[in-house]
Amino acid sequence: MQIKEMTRLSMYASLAVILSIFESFIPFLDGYTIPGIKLGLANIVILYVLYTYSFKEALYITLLKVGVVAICRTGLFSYSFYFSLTGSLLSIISMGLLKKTNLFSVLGVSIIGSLTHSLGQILVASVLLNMHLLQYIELALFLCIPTGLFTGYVSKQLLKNTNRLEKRK
Amino acid sequence: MNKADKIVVLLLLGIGILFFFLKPKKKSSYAEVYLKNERILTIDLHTEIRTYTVNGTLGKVIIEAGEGKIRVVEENSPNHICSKQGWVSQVDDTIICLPNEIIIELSGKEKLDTIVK
Repeated sequence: MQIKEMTRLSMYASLAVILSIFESFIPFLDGYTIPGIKLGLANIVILYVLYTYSFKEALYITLLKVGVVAICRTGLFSYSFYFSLTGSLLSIISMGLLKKTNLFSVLGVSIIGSLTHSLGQILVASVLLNMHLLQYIELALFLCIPTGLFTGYVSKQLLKNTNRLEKRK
Repeated sequence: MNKADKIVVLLLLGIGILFFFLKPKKKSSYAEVYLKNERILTIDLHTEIRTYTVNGTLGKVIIEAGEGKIRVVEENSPNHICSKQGWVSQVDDTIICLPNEIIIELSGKEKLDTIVK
């Protein structure tokens, strides 16, 4: 990996961390209003990296984001850490696979990413807390559509505009 | 948004609606209150509405229960999610107050332990 690429990627990783910390400051957007459901602003960066680089780089950024956010906010190996680790990993893997099929646009990939992120968290929650969480699966199914569309739309615009910039050089 | 995206959105909405209608709707008869994964109280919901007080991590949690439903009236937590949630009555519904480390779970039949009548 060249130094230029490395610097860029670390900038993206810090952007993802900042967005996900920033998101938790806004009461409506964080997971408190409805447990486990967030807008997922950090997913914008991850989608962007997935499309401009590749799956590998996006995976690095996801892992960095989860780790750094956990250290900053809740502590490593806390419940929240496992929630976000499983959700993020499931999300990035399914987004990577979907992107490979070339059937979906950024929007579809983003929606599925949003859904699998919630599903991963629900999975961990039902194992760790030993609870029935069927009602949250239903919520996740409905809510992943608006949140996924939002992050997908932002990433799409971002990709479009940065491509134009690259061409102008 | 291309065709495949739209199919995915419709599919998800469809599954969501199916979930909503196929979910078993059973009135619950017992509520179990957990503090840090340990059951501290089982409430019979067949009675008239009564008030119960349990000690959560951040202080007292006041619960109202009876007539097949339960809610958290007052609690000390930063966002008051569980008291905003209001009445719940279906089997397997949960009220989760993570700051107080209290989980209230509704069940159809009693698991024998201490029952407050």
